[in-house]
Amino acid sequence: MTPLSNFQFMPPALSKLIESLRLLPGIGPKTAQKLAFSTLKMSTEQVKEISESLLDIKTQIIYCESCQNISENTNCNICIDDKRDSSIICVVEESMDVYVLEKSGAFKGKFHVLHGSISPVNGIGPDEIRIKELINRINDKPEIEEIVIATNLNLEGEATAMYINQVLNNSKSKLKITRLARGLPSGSDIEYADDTTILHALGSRVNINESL
Amino acid sequence: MKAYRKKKKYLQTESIVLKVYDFGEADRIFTLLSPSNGIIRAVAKGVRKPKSRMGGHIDILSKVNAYISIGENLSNLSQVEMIDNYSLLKKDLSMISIGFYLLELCEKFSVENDPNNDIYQHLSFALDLLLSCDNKNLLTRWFEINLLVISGFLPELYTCQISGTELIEGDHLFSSINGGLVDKKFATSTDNYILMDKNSIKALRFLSNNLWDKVEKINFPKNSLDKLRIVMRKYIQTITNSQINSEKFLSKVR
Repeated sequence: MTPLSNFQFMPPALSKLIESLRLLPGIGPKTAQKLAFSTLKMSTEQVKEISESLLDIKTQIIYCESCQNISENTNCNICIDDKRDSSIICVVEESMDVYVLEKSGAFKGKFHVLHGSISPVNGIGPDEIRIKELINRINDKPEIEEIVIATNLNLEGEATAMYINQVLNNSKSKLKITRLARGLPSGSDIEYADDTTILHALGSRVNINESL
Repeated sequence: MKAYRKKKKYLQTESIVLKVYDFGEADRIFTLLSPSNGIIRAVAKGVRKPKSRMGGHIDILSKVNAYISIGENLSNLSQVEMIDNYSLLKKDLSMISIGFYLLELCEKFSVENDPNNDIYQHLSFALDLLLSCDNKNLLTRWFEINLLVISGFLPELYTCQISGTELIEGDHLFSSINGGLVDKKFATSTDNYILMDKNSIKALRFLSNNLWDKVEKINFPKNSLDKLRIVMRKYIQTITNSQINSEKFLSKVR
């Protein structure tokens, strides 16, 4: 389908908005058109609020000096929270993963965001993500006892976890390094599980009394 | 009136996953190398969700049986069966890094919709061998050189690329731009040459002419293999006109 923005009758301002919206991930030409036309129906205040919010995230949000998560201050709310366990750090790929883990309420330690995973085929090596910052943080803080590596469960995530493990084993031998357990997702049928998942689920099986 | 609907084309093929990147909210685009269609790029819908039935069956560096619905712009992965996950290989970071390197090389030397069974079989053979092979450095060099043979890019190793005369046994220069060896007498100061000793040239010729079962029995000097690594890196960069990204990672974890 030819996007409407290509038609000459469209006012340039609307056409420009459609093209700008298309820069966002998951927004195709049709969705961009729908959003642009919806914006036309909104009040000036509402549109102003949206545009100001968009600008704010670029001007006000920085990276936390300690955990590299997005924050409005030099140190994020999680890092300055004294109630959280400073001896355990959970390493995640993206800031979004922090919010997913926080929502579960199961983790009370602190985080470290790598902002990606090692993907040599796509030109992303260990120097392109924030592994160096993690190593410096561990070396500077002797109270850290455990690192939980919560990178994604694909080959890039696994390679990242292995690389961190290799570097940390060389630098700080007493550190406990753990990886998130792998297995069947809640509510799924074993019938549809793949061999790799079954293999890991059997390997990480737990005593029924401990799991209940 | 009956509405006209274009008939969808389906393809079922064995393939090796070369590359993966996230697409949209929960989708992924997979670059597959197949013997019958060369490179195929296909989107797997919702594969990043934990409950996806396809997610565990497909990942980079795995051999799969893929069922693809061919689209005009982008094809759709409708079903996948895992043939080999290379799970033992994936437990070692150095083997993963070699695997990434082999995959990237195959992607550089393959094109979309161009059947190339030889490249597919070459990659499949090397991945199967990677775990059991003791000399991974030799396997990597043999893979690179024979990939060049299959693709028709093998550098000229017997005649001088400037004078056209036959090269006599001895040290010579390797010129990536000229596509092979150059007699030292005819070298110009402008070209970026790599000096190759007699043994490295012999090793290069032997690797390009022989199958793995013969190659693995030979004990090549380490400095010859190191020289071949430098020569191959430069030459592949020149002919593909791009950097081999995974080479940097390979050097880092070696």
